[in-house]
Amino acid sequence: MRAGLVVLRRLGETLLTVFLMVTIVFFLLRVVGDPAELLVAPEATHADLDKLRAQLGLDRPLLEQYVDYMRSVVTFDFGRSLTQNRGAGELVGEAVRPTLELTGLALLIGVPVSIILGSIAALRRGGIVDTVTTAFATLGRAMPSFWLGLMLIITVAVGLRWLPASGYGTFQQLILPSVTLSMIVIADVTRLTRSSLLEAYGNDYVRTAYAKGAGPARVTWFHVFRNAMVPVITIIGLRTAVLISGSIVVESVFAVPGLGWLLIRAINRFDFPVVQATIILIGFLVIATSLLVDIAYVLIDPRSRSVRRA
Amino acid sequence: MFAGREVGTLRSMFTTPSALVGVVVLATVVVCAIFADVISPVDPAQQHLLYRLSPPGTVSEDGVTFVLGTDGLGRDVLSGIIHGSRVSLIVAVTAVGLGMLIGVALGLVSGYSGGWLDTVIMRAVDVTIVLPFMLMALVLRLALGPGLGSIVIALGISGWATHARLVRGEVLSLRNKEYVLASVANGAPHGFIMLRRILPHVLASAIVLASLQVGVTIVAEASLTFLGLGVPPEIPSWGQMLANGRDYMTRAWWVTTFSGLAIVLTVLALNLIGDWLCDYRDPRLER
Amino acid sequence: MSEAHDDGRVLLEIKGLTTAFSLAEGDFNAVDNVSFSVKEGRTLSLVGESGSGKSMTALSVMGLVPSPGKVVAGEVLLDGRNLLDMSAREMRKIRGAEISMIFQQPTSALNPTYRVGTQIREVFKLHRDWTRQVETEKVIAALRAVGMPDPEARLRAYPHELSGGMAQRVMIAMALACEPRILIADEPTTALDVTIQAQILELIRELQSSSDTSVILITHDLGVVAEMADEVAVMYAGEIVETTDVETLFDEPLHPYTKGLMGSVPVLGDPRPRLEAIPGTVPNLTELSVGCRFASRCQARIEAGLTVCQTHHPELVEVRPGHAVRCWLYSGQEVAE
Repeated sequence: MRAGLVVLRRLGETLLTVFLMVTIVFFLLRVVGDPAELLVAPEATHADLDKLRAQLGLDRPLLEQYVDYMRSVVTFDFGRSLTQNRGAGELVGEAVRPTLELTGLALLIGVPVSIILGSIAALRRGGIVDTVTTAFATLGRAMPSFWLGLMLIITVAVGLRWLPASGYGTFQQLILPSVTLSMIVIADVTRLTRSSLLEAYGNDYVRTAYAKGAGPARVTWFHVFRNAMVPVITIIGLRTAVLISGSIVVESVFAVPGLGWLLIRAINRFDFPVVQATIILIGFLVIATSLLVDIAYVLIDPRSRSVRRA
Repeated sequence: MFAGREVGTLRSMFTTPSALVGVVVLATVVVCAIFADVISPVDPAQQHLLYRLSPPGTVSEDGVTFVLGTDGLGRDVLSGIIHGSRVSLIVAVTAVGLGMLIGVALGLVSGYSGGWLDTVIMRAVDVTIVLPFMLMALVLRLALGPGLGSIVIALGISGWATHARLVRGEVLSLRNKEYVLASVANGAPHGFIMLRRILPHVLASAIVLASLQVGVTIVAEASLTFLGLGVPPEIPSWGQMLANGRDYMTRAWWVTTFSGLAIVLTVLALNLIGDWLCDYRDPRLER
Repeated sequence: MSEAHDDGRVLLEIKGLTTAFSLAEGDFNAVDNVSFSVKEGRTLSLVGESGSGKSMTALSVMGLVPSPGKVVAGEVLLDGRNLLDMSAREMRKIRGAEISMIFQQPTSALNPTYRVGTQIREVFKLHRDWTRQVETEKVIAALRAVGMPDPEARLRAYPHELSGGMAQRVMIAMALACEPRILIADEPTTALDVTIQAQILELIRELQSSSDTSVILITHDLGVVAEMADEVAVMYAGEIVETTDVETLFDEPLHPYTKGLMGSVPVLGDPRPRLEAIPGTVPNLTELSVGCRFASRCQARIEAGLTVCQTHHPELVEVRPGHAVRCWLYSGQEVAE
């Protein structure tokens, strides 16, 4: 099946991208910066620096380090945390779940809301829903997500006392951070759904559908909607990547022990192996999302199956 | 080159209400940044310890009005916001400019040369584009260490890829235009052709893209500063105010709220202008 | 050349159809007091250049005038029933089942995200109450009827996988699936290769004669008219300026515009050194002056020394049996043989 071939190709490209990303992380962290200097306390002596270098394996030739690094990445061995007596990989593994829950919930809230609001805005163009939604989305695009999170804490958690302000464990604690993150999706997807629907209406096949005797409802939901969703799916995928990186900050705001929170904590504690492992995993998740979006795209738009991607 | 179009551009801007609002707000922010010392009611670093965490509108015994309140060390919030605009704008504009420089240069070379160089650069673009801006900036910032310079460079480098891709696309379509071919036939050196024949036509789109990036960069910088990984704390910035405000968020909501609002309004203004720019250059009929 | 039917029963009668548009630039009638009729089993061709109102006339008949346009006057009588009086729901039953329409760019007229078979099947879903199996059989039969090779496989194809000619065959299959009384074809071959054009036109002719469907063929190409039409109505600036049967139109065109159209078509073996273009341009419909709309470009007016053309608007008058013209050169006069 042609779609299958395209998917395989994308899979191959994805693996290549992951490989390149991991390599880039390696070079950035070791070549552009000197990890030992970054990690060490200001008062350290050269002896301390050397000791740290030896410990991290930074004194060996670069190529050897690279091979070692790649080998360890492939076997998921990310070394030991410098501050906690556990494997870096283990810590990262634990942190994945909260991040996925947050991101998942944000998508679950954000995508339906966006599509519904965007559709109403398009169908009742110029109406009250359209105006309010557009204004809302415009504001949302300009808001730093962490500020939104803080404001929600101030108003909803502290002011109204409806929901807990931070922490992780119960479902209620997930709500505020997820809603905060969902804004990243809603701000863009709503606008795009609206404009995509409006643009799709101008197409010739709409006229054909009416000429066949279809009514407005059928034209909208059978013909227009599917075409309009094609670009929307792409945007959702792009925003998911932003979601994952947005969670870096939002997790810190709400004290959710996910990947982002782990990363920041490790940076502040100079826990290099954990930093490296977390960055790689976050990067991988983002790339994987991009792949899933591409697959969805192939399934939805038949034209993408036979045409070569530019 | 832009002769008669300038008038049309200005007129369009003034008739689009959203763009006008954006320009006004942005102008205000720029004015604050330039004339911060003059406009600001008090020195933002000055601590009025007797009036710590005072709500907006508090007036001190000396007749100083804390229009937007004070923070945990008694520093005036409004003054902090006015001064903070400087950092946000300068960092963002410089970073975006840097990204544009690198991106346009690489895009030019990539599109013009073709071949393996093109492939390598475009692969790098693909990888960079897939990764979100914040993540790239974070990694770079890590590599470069603390300091104002490294945050600017980190933010700048993260944005090169979109420019490169855009410019390369345009170069590919311009490469076969008559005036370029004429230069090639005349034996002009590659550098000349790229700089004098192709670059001017590509610059307009690059600038539009750059203006769209400034808003995102401001937010990214504020985020990183908020996390302690951006602009150093000694320099007054919006991100820093948000970070400080976090500690007494529940007692003094105004610090968090107003410093955040400053960011929102600035980015909003930039977005509105950016939207207008996009519509103006590539109008879509909404029928 | 189509067979002449002795029984020329009128199936569709259009009287005084007027469709108005209200734009920022001004108000105008894209279709202005248009009247003509279509007989059962015959082909009427609406001829004119772009902007003459021929497509809009068709859309007005179908009830598909795009906003900000609106049909403001006239009657469209199908078997005596006025389509313009019908409710939206009633019109929907007519479209696709009693009157069908095909358009100019077949590949973009089909929904790119659905298979071709699904789209043809839609016509049955809308107008018939059949099981899926029956629908599938009918879809295959429809594809076969339009000359599609390997219909069983083709129905699973997507529109972008088809060439222009094949896509237009699909459109025709869709349009004729429910055996409508009238097929409206709006420039069906303009976007296609010349060789494919001939095939499609031939197909339409075949299908028409086997099912006795009436065809309204909209075109600007006189060659197509000569080949396909039984009757012709020439349109200019939103009005009908001449109607007659096709032989008479080519043998004895009356209206200066029609003559101009004929003169601008190259003919093999014609010794004339240049084609005669009609001087001037189509008038701006929002700024119409009084009098005949063609007056400013009309050579004959000058030669005949007529001033009435610029002051009074001519009516469409049947100056000979079966031949009507909107021109002061002929109205109110008996034309001597």
